[in-house]
Amino acid sequence: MSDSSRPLSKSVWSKIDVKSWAITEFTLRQYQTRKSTWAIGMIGILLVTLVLLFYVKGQTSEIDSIDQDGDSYDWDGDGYSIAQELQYGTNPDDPTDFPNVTALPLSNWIDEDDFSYSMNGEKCQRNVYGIVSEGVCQINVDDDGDCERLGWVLQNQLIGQGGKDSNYDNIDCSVFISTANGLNVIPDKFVDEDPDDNLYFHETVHRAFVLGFGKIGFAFLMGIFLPLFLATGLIRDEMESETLHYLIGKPIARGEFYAYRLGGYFVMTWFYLATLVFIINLITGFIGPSDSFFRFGDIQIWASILFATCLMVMAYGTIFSTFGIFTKYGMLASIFFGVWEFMMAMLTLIGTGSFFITRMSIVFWGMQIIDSVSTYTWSDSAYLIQKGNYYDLEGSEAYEAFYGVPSIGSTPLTTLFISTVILIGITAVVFFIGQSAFKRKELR
Amino acid sequence: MNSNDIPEKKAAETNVVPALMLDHVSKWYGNIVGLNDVSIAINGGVTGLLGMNGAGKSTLFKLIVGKLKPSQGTVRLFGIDPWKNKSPFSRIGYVPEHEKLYDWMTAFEFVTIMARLFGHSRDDAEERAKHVLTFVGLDDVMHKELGKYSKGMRQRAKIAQALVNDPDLIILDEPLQGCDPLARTTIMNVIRELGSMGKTIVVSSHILSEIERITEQIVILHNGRLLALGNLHAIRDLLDKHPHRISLTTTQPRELASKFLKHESVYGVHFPAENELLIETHDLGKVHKDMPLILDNSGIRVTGIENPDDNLESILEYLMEGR
Repeated sequence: MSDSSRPLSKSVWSKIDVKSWAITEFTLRQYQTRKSTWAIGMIGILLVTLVLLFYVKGQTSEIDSIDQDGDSYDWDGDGYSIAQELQYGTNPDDPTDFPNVTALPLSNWIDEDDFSYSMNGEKCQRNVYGIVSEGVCQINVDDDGDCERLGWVLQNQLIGQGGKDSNYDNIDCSVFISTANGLNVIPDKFVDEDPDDNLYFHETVHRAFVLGFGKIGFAFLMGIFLPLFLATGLIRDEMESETLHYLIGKPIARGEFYAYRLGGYFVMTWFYLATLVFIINLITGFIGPSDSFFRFGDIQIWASILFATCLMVMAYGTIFSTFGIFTKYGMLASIFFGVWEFMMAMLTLIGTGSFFITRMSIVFWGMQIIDSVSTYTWSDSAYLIQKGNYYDLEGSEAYEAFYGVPSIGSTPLTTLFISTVILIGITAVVFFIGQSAFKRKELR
Repeated sequence: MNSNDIPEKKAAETNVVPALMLDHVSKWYGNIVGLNDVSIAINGGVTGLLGMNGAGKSTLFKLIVGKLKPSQGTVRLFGIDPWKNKSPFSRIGYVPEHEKLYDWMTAFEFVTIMARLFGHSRDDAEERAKHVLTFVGLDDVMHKELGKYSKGMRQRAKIAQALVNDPDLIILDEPLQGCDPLARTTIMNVIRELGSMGKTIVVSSHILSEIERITEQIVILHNGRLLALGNLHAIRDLLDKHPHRISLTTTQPRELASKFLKHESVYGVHFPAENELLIETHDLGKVHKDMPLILDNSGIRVTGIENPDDNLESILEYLMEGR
């Protein structure tokens, strides 16, 4: 088909397409030649490496296990643990009364009843004080059998009211899970009462690392610093060096030019972030605690971190470059904005959405995205933190610090959608303001 | 060049849309006047825009290429307002005054990317870049980084990027500034050749002799105002009737002075230095015409002749006297 017979729309689009890629490619090459780009990139990689080293150290170290239910002790010194004596009906306080079997190592009764919670259970009802609530029940989760063997003397003394069904779900030695008012996990007594400290530590520290690194390291720090150094001067630097004349003295609208410049910036930062996230996901996926050789379940968390950070980098980049269009002190304005975002990030982490003012920030919405996906993926988080705090397990505080429940939508998916729309909306509005200002800007 | 107090009316009468038209255009920077009520229309040929530093040349160009918005009046490029509509930019090439370039790029890459910004495909853009870089004489060094270019080479690279879309109107802001004599000659040849190709070219300078070597059509700006426009030789003829000085370098200034004092157009002589004679005349052209005969008859050796008043300042001074 000859040029003259080509439809107008196709011809116009082809030209726009050529120009857009030319500006994007030019912007990318410009970044490539700037020392500041490499400096910020290397600083990011160094920090990531440093934090990863701490993570690896944490994952490869062991902590002292604690016997939370105290049944591994040999009170009477007859060589049998309390648990074994209770199992065979002998008196744990009487050194002359012991089971007629081989004494098992005391360590067998440490960490012997770990958390068994998951949402895969049978539908059931719980009835306390005449109030019925629907939920999911897990059965056969009493790993050490001390709840099942209620005949044990000590247990009879301790269990008290409710017997084997202390959670009133009409199932003995079960775990009742209700999602009616947030996640509520209630096990029967002597179910999940001696968790694996090391497993808990490694799991919670891993999750805390992923969430902390995702929210602070990526979403906030990368989200702020990459745009600060790479986007603020996107138009301003060209104006200052007077080279902008070459680029805009062409048959291309300034608004369009600005959009393509931002496009180059997006491609660069998104590629950088995606590479880093991919590498960290690989490392933590192999090193982190898992039944499999790799933590496949984390992929969606890391994907949400990448997604949130990309949206934030987009929003911050558009805001900072617009500052640059308005004033030569764009960098200063961006730093002030960064301080505001830092305060909002801290408030968001502390209050997990309870401070309304945090909604006036970019970082809040980015963190909401991560929280919504992590809540969905790691649905046992609240239970882990709740049990960890109860037993004072190592790792629970760190996990609690970075764990957040999304406070906007009624479901994680709604939160994800609302937060995404808001971040894109902010970007679009600021872009419109920026390109309008750029169109009216006189280049002296 | 067409000029009129009301260029739009003139253009309408001739039914031709000029490449460039300014109608009572003024530009203020706060309280400072950059351009004051300028009206011109240019269509075809090479036009020299003359003016001292701060005369308003760059302001005029920036208004033309849509970098500035006029405070008053209208600017039209091929009949279109360049501030509102960027479409005329596909027909113009602009060489800015400043020296800044993307030093990390080669001239070939630079011109290629500029061509792509006009909407040309990569292959087409590369072809065009090669062509224009050869045209401006940078074919041997087009793959060298711009940062390693001399001043003259950088100016030629800037001209090449302006030519890459085969524009109808080319605007060159002080293209010879800072160039060595060889580079000046090359650039002047390029401009002349472009003029002969039928392009409309506007080139600015504050050095009269430079413009004189390129074109006869001139526009003179002074303090933001349009001082004169027309044929340079006509202006110079008027200037020649004005008191003028000729400086001669010789070992016998006094002997030579006696010969020149006999000339009807010479009304005074001075000796500013030991080997220098300064002649004052009312008719520069006639003295220059008779000078070879006077020197030949005197037998005195002259090693240098200069016209210190044959510059833009003198023209401006002369033109300002009439105001």
